[in-house]
Amino acid sequence: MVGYLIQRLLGVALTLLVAAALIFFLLDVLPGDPARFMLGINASDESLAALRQQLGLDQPAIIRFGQWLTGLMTGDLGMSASQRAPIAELILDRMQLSLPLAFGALILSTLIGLPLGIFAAQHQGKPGDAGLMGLAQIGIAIPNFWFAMLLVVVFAVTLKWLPPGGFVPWAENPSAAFRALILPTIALALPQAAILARVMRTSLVDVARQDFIRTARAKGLSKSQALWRHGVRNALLPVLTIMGLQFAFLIAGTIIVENVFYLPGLGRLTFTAISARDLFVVRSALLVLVGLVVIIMFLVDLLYALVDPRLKKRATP
Amino acid sequence: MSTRLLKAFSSNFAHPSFAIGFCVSLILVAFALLSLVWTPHATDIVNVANRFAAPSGNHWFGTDFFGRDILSMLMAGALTSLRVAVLAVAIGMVIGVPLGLLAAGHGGWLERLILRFNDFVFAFPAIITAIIITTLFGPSAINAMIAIGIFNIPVFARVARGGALSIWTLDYVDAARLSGLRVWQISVRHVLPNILSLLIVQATIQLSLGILAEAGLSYIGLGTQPPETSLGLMLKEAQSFFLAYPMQAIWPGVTIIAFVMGLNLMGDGLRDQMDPKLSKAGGMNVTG
Amino acid sequence: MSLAKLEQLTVRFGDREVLSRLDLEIQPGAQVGLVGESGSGKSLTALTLMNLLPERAEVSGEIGFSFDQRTKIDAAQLGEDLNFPYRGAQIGMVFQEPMTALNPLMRTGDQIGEVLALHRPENNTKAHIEALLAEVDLPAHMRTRYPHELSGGQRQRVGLAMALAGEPALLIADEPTSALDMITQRGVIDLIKRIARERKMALLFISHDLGAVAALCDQIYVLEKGKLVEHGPSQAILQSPQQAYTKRLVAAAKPTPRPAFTRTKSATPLLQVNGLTRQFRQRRWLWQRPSPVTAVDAATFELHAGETLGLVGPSGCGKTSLSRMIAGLDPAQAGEVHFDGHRFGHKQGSMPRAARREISMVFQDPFGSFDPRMRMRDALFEPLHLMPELSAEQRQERVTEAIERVGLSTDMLGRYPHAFSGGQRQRLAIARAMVLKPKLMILDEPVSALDVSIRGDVLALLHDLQEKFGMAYLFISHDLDVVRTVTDRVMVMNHGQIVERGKVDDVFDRPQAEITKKLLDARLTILG
Repeated sequence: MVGYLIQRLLGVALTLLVAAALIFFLLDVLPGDPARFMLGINASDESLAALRQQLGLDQPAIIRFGQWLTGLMTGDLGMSASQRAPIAELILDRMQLSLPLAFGALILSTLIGLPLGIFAAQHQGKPGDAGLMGLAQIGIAIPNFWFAMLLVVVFAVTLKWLPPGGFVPWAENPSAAFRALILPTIALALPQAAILARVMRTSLVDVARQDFIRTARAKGLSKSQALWRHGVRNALLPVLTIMGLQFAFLIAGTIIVENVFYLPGLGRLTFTAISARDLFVVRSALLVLVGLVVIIMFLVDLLYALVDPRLKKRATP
Repeated sequence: MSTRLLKAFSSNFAHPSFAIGFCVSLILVAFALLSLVWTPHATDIVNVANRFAAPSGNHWFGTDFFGRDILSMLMAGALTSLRVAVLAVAIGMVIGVPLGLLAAGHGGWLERLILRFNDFVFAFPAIITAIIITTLFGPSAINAMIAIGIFNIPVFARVARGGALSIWTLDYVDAARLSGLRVWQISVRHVLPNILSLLIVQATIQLSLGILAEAGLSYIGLGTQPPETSLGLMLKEAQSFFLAYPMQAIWPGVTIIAFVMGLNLMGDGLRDQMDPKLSKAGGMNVTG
Repeated sequence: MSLAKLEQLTVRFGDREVLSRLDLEIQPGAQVGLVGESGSGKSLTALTLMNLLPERAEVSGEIGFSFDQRTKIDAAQLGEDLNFPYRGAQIGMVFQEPMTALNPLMRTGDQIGEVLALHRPENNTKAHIEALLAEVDLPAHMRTRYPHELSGGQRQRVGLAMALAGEPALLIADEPTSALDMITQRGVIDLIKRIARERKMALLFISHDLGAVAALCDQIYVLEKGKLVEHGPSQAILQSPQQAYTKRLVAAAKPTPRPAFTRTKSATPLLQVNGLTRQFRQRRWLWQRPSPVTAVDAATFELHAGETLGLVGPSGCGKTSLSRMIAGLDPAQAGEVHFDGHRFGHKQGSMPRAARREISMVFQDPFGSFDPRMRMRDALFEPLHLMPELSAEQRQERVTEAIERVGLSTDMLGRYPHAFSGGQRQRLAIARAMVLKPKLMILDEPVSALDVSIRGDVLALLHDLQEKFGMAYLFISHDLDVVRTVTDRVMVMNHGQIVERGKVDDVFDRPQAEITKKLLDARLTILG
């Protein structure tokens, strides 16, 4: 198990390093002169020189890459040229919105999707199953930002239960911050829940056909006892994999849904930085997003290894 | 071959979700393609005086902020969305399927490398790729297409490899090797035809995901730009007036949902037909 | 008074009747065998007794049990809603597939304990679980193992321990040994026999293999296509079968006499294998040195033109790996092959193209042997890739000759593989192997997947072809009786090594190696 952990951690580190190199190459090396890219074509030579001096752009690319990596380790990512604030601080500040949103949606979608999927599988072919799966079909097809717009109209504008947008930092008013995130979380979570319900149902229906379920019934268990005691845990394995992949979609989803609710999250930070041509902010924010996806996939793999005894023995994964 | 295809097709129609999905998709594709040659009104003429017109005989779904006919916009928008999604699937298949076949056929270090590459690309959701491309070149429908296409590559590579691996264990592949065929010849002659249905199912799923992704990217301004139109861009433009004129956002949203559902239902139906154990009513193994 | 009784049991799926008016009776402590080919309805009979039939099955007839008291059940009422307390308690069941019959995420001890908790809660102790494991000849520490850590035979023993935990009066075993290799199969059959006797438990043993049933049971029921063909005491059925179907089954289970050989052997060997070795390197973690697992260990032997050499051994002994290296499908890690003037192997690299056309292969599974999306014509033409010098007419001639030689006609060639039966496909596989007119044909279990009635025909065909064309055969099989019928010489492999070789009669009549003796002892043939 420890060996597996170390090997997987090395894999994560390598992936992040390559991702950082790729982002650096695309955003810092490919545009040619980053200073000119940031200031535009009409910038004067003096201001270009000043910016190069200020951002250390007069050094070779490999040194700058090294500096960025060191910065990522130590938490010193330099100053944002456009926002006049330390980049690390900006990103951390936005994470207090984006992280709860993404994880909240992950948890909510799991809490809704898995039980519904199990229920549908248990009632396979009956009206409950057909109805739920029909709903799931619709849920999967709904664009989350469009659903978010509907939620705003119904719950914020018409019923006035929740704020239609904006965000108050947790430190200032935790309950207002929480309330601001309820609608975005639901908008993100419901389509995901529909996917999870479907995957869970398919997986459990698959497992229910397997020989060991028949063995369990031959022991004297009823159909639903066999399914609960032996089926659900086995059926969860493929669902876990899907959940890991879904997280990448959730991260993408937070960036989109932020737009509907005018939330100052990582997405907004990135877009402002793009308009301001603030490459340093963009590259760090992107790496944070990629890092989140990679780490979640790693955690899912770990969970998989914990649930499935077969993996602990396996050779190179 | 054509009779076989026809037979497969007609047997698929016995499956209700395939039939429904196929019809809905066909209607929407026809609707989108029609916009190439004809729309009820031109989509590039601004008539502010006639903005937010209510549905009428002339404008079935009314007009938008610029006085453009919404039905015409939907037709043109659906075409853009479809084009982006189809080309993104094409990118994913053209690069991903050979990679998957190569990984399965070659094995060893090449397979490990391709798998690593797959995992790596999975860490870049289309939106992150789109942000990078937009930072460099500015937003456009082509950017969205490339970003979605890149995300499709590992998806198809994974499906192709999984299918190919199971084919490579079969004796007829060994028989082909004994007949002196090389790895690529076996991949083309024996493996690809046998995983084609798998790939088609995945393509319908990626097509529907592509339509959703295009809508999302255009909505946040990373995709299609005016004066072009797409279903996502229509939603972006409708957002400011959504409270006063909700129908502006309803129509494009419903079109997206119908399109995605149609494709998904079709994919489900195809998959059920392919997987004989799923099409049999549940229960246990009764052979004996 | 019978322990369990089926009267006029009929099972239908839609308009398909899969069991028709079956009468079956099991006396307390009796060992009853139920024989039939796949699709005969024998497993459905077992599932009926367990009330585990699929929901869509329509059932009629009556089921009687007399465990603690007599009960009669109208078979139409079977289903999830029926109060059926016997499953797992008075009736235990063991299934066929050892790889999938156990929950992969649960320790074996817990899976056994689950039965105890349900039916014998007072016995749900570590000691009792270990006692059950001991009864099926497994050590106590198996209790904490997961199924994937056990071999097929060990899993099947765990399955048996689970079935025994409820202390059943009737044990149903549905093909419990069919997926196991010969030696393990024999071990499990002997174990079931011993336990049934010790526990004075009735047994319903279901199998397609008359030999296995004969070894265990004192009563036999023969089923064909859902109908009872014949039943009676084992001795009577085996010695004087009345019905044609039973006669065929009995005949197929007896060793066949060996045909006369007329061909002559050449003096120089066609194939010489020297120290051929195949290793798989496994490593658990990146930084570990890979530790090799040897599948074939320095195999050395000769094969003459026109000769048939048998290769036998328990499953996993390396016989298939060895044959794949000779055919050039897998690389060798050491050693070399001299074949018909060509050399290849570890140092010389892969097989030269010129040698390819002289070796062909017939595989075990007639269904996996052909690409389902390719017409037979294209499949049979495929080997001719290796002979680009042939004209189109010559190619056509070759294929026509091959297909006629195996007793089929060319107008079948436009069809896809699914249109052919298993026996026809195996003939077509032989035809494909014949197209090149090779000097050596490797036959990897060529008849094991075929129904017993067809096996003889295919073996006779192979014999005829050899008489006419003088090819050498390397004949791989786990079935010693088949090997004895068709081969001149035989080699026995175990753990990757060739442990014994010689004339087939010498080896089988006077076995020297331990494994050969075990294999011969494990045979379940009906003598008489």
